[in-house]
Amino acid sequence: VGPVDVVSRGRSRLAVGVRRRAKHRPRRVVGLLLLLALAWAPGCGRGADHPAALKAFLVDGPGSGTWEVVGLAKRRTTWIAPHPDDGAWLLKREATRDGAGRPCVALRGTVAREFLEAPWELFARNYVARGPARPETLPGGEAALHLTWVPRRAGGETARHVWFDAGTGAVLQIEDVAYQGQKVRGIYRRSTGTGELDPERLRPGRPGGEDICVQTEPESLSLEALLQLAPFPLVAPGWLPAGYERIAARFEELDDVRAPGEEPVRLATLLYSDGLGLISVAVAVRSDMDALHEHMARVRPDAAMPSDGEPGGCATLPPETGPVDLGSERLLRRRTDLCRTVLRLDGLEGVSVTLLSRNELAGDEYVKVMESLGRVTAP
Amino acid sequence: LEAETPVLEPRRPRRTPARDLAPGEAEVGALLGRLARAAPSDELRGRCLTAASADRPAPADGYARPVLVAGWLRPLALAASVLVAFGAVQLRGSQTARERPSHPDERVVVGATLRVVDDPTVPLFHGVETFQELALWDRSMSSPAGGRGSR
Repeated sequence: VGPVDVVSRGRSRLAVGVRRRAKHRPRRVVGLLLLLALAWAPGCGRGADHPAALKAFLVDGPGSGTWEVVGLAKRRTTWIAPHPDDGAWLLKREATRDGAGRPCVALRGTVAREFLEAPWELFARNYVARGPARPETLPGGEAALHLTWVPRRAGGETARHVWFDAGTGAVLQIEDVAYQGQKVRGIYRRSTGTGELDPERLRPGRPGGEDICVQTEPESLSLEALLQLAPFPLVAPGWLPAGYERIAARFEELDDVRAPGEEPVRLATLLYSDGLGLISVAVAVRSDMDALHEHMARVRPDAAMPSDGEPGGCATLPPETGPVDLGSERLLRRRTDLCRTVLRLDGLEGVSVTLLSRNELAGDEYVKVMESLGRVTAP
Repeated sequence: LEAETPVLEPRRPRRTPARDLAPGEAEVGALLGRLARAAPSDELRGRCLTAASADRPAPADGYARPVLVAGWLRPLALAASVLVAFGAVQLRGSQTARERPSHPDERVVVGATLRVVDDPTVPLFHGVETFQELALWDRSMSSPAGGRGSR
């Protein structure tokens, strides 16, 4: 009896084990399939490729919805919607300014460049993601994953913080924070709504051909072309902070700086970036640069930001007046506050140069850029 | 770029391999050191220290004597030293050119040629973040088209 009993118990245990495995196999398979599906789902949660999602934002433009771009001295809201027929284009409409709210058909790449200026390639070369993504809840209640990109170079200052949708992996907001802690720029998706944009207007037979603008890549000249266009000696920095490159060069004639009917202000502009930071340089003859400075001195912060003051926590210095004794020495005139530095140099090769920055680097770096200015004779 | 830039370290002087002092050398060195401290002129002190550091047995009077070169050899020695110096300069130059990275930093010598003065009359350019944007702003304000690079 004993051995039989043992055998029977053993059999029964084995049989139960088999039954248990058989009973739980479908549930486990389903669970495994679910996990696999979650892992392979495009842009999904923790498994999402965040650098790829950031690249998609910077190269292809933001997803549809209402986006707010907060800069140094302004806040702008833009509605974005996909083009109904052509994936290479987006529809956008500025919601902030009255009278300028025409819908635009915008080439995808131009929208992110409008928000952030610098090209993705330069950012990818000079910045690297640091640490794992941290789960956070955004003020709107959205579950997000927060990842930070820091400069590859030692001693880098400004970092880019990006929040991704915890579910889809898409970019929800971006903030660039300088080394002193001030926010340089921010991009936020405020809602998924596309405001007053009506993609149906673009369908054949619908109204709305003439009042829809087309936004393509802004023109950027080579130094050689700029040299030909500028009616004054062109100067440019020969030294740049590590990682910085020229990303744009333009020649502009500004009609609104002087009184109507007077000569326009002619300006050669150069823009440098390391993928995140920006250094903007303007070159003009002295009288034109004086006119530009006088014009900008009249622009008060409240004109740029009617109600909220300057975003980014930048308290503006009070407008002071009082001549500075320039003497005969070559002086670099500087005006700086927490969020920006403006440098002006006169008398170099007969022109005046102004540098505009957002304090994304230590102040000495900008002075060194101005010290390296030299005449451009051949690109 | 900076991460890829090779760091050029200053050349360190070659050190003479350590060796045991011959009998009497330690005493000679100590004597030369005392003489150097007591020497009345810098020139003499320099000579003494040179002799002491070379670990050569010094004459009994404590002063290192210059190597005597025969008169007919002097022009030859002078020419040889000039050639050696020229060769060293050439070698150094070629190495610098080869090792120098192609970074824009290298094209310009940055000198502190400007004096920086804080000037409250310089505007802070409110509402403008780059000059490129200023130009586009001007264009969009003056025409109803609006928009960056729009037509």
